[in-house]
Amino acid sequence: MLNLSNALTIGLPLVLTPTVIGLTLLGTFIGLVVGSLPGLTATMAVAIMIPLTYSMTPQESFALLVPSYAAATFGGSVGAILINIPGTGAAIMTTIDGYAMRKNGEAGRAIGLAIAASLVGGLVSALFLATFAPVAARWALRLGAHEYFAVALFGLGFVAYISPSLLKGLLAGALGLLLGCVGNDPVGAYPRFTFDHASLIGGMTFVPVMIGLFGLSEVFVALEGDLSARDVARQQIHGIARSFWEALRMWPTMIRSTVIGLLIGVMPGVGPTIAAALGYGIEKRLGRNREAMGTGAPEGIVAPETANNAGTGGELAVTMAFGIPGDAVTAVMMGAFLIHGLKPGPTLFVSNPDVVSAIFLLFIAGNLLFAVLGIASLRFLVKLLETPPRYLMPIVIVLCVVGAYAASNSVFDVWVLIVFGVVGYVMRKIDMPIAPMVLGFILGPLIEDNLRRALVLDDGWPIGFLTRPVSAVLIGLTVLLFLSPVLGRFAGRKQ
Amino acid sequence: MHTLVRGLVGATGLAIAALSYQPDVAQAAYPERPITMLVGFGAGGGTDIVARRIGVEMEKSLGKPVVVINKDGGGGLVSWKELVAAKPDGYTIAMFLPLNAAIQKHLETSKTWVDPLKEVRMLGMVNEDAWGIAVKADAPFNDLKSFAAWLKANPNAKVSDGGPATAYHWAWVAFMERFGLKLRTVTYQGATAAGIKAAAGGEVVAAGAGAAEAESMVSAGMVKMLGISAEKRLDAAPAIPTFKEQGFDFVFGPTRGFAAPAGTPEEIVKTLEAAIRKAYDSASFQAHLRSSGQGGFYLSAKDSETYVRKVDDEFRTLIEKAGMLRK
Repeated sequence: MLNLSNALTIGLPLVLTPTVIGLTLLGTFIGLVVGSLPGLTATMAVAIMIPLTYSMTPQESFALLVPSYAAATFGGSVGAILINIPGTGAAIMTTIDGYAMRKNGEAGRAIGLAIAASLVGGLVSALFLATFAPVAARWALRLGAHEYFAVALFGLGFVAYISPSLLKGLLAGALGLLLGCVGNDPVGAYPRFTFDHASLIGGMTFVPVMIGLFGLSEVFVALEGDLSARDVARQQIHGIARSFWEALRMWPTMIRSTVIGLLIGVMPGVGPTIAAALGYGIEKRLGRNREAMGTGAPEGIVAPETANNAGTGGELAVTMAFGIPGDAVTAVMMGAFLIHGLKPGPTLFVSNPDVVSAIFLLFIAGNLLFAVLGIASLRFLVKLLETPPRYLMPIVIVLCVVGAYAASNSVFDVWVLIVFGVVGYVMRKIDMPIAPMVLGFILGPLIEDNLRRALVLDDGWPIGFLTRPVSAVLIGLTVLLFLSPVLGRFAGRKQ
Repeated sequence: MHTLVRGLVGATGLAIAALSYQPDVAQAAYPERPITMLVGFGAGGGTDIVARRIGVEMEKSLGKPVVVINKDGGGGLVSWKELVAAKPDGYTIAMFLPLNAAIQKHLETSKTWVDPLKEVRMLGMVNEDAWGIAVKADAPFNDLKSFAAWLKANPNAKVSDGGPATAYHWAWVAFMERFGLKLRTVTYQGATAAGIKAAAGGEVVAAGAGAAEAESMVSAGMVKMLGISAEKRLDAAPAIPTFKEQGFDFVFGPTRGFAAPAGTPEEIVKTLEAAIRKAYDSASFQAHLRSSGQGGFYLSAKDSETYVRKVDDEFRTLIEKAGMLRK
């Protein structure tokens, strides 16, 4: 079986070749650039490279893909901080405090914190992947429809619960759930809200909805005034070493978020997204600096960034262990396995320890390299923000449109982008939070799918949710969340 | 800074120009410009891999690039709608999955389905992945006979599939009907692997899965294959018996081929058919079939048309019997 020491002895000779090192650098660089451009996402970074890898050896192809996956995921957080456009679902929570810090002129500090938190979460998760992949796989095998439903419900409930206004948070989450209903229903394949449009059968595509709500709406807000007259927010370049140190001093936050990420990361697809939401939410309720969360608190970046990166290793482990792709990016990565005649699954660890070791090392290399590249490019990225809005905004629009189109080569998605740009604009005007809506949209199909599956499995009886320990505890916690304001008032009156 | 802005604007302009470039059409010697191959599934998936492997070989015999474009969505429908809207001039072809098309048509997963009998012209079939049954490794049955007997004693047992819009769902339905069994199918959308994991974890009693899809879980001792519904055992998995060997006369498997819009001139169809045949026979594609476990299945353009009609009939009957025919 694979463990840390033989991962090094088998893997190192494979990855320490000039070609592989060169490709690793290239992959990290492309991933970081594509991931941090507004509107372009990790999926796109990996998808544009995959046809290039068809003729490579497995090591070479993973040298390009794995680091770019890690770097693009981090790049998504850069976009979240700089332009308020998260590149992935996992970066949604980072927008809240990250963008607030950028508005306060602290973009450099925010990115530094994100680099440190991502690095710690990513490395812990990589070590976990190397040591406990089989354990993670066994844990994942025990999680079925009931548990997925309960986790998703709890994650969504928590995000609504920590919204500045519970009512608006719930409303936004509910709207997101409604959006998630678009597309043919999972049990009967019957069209729902598709308006006879073939592009809507599988539901709305995530990328255009997200960059519309977050990104384009931001541009619309900026367009309200006279662009040429707008002041440019001067950004301080915060000392990198200080940011790093600052993040490490928040070790209680990091430990909490890492544990959450490791536990929930094993749920393919939504693991890192829910982990980031819970990491942020718990920080907002229990953290020392909870009062400042939402206004540019450093914990607001460290908590979700540690949690989502801690989740990536678990996600990768489960993807490899069962061959179940979690999201669009890992689905593309799975394709890379098949192209090289490798079958993702539990035996991959036994039959191809070389490939698994190489992937593990490349994952670490990607994490370290994006930190280095991120730090090196920090000054430039921050300066980019000082571009006068009359130049910056048109570029953002172009990138948003290109990103929406490229996600599935579809002009329809460009219209989706524009519609959701307007929706996002209206939401900003009435102070309705966008994050719960996007999370509702991501988690809605998951909640529905697993709820209906669980009910079919139990012949229509809902009691199964309460007889399984994991789902019973999570559903209990969700109920408590919503009762807590009432209970709190009750307790207050008694005193 | 300004250089960067200019660079970005320039690059975007170039990209737009490249996207909208449409050379003059003149039918001198086909093909005289690149051919677009639409693939209705994401890059890196099973369908995409077959398409790109064939596309690369077609380039060699046609002497022009074959550009693969992924148009993901609706189980292939998005790409087929684009195919039938394209000019029937041989410069737009698509990967075509007859089972998916028939299901979309009779289940009416969208009111705007594409009719495989009228709107497309088949160019040939290249691949079939036989359906099979996987159960938990320590399940009390080792072959189809004992499994069927167990199902008779335990009606409404749960099995996994990908939902009624997928071929694997109808494989179970057809299997039940043929052998008089009663099962409940549970939908695991997206990946067969999720259904196999559910069987391994005990959530369902069996998963519908191809031999290649289940192979890794089988060799890890988490599930076992009771059989595959192919005509004969697979080269890639010679240990798995067929349904027929076990006395269950049942053959079922999703297939992949290529189609052009209806009305494509006969000479062009001939050229493309020959290029696909040559690509199928090429050493590299055959080697891919052996190593990947994706099954070989060749039909000529003419035989493909007959095959598509047969599939259409079968699914019409299946869906009608299930009471889900929406026409």
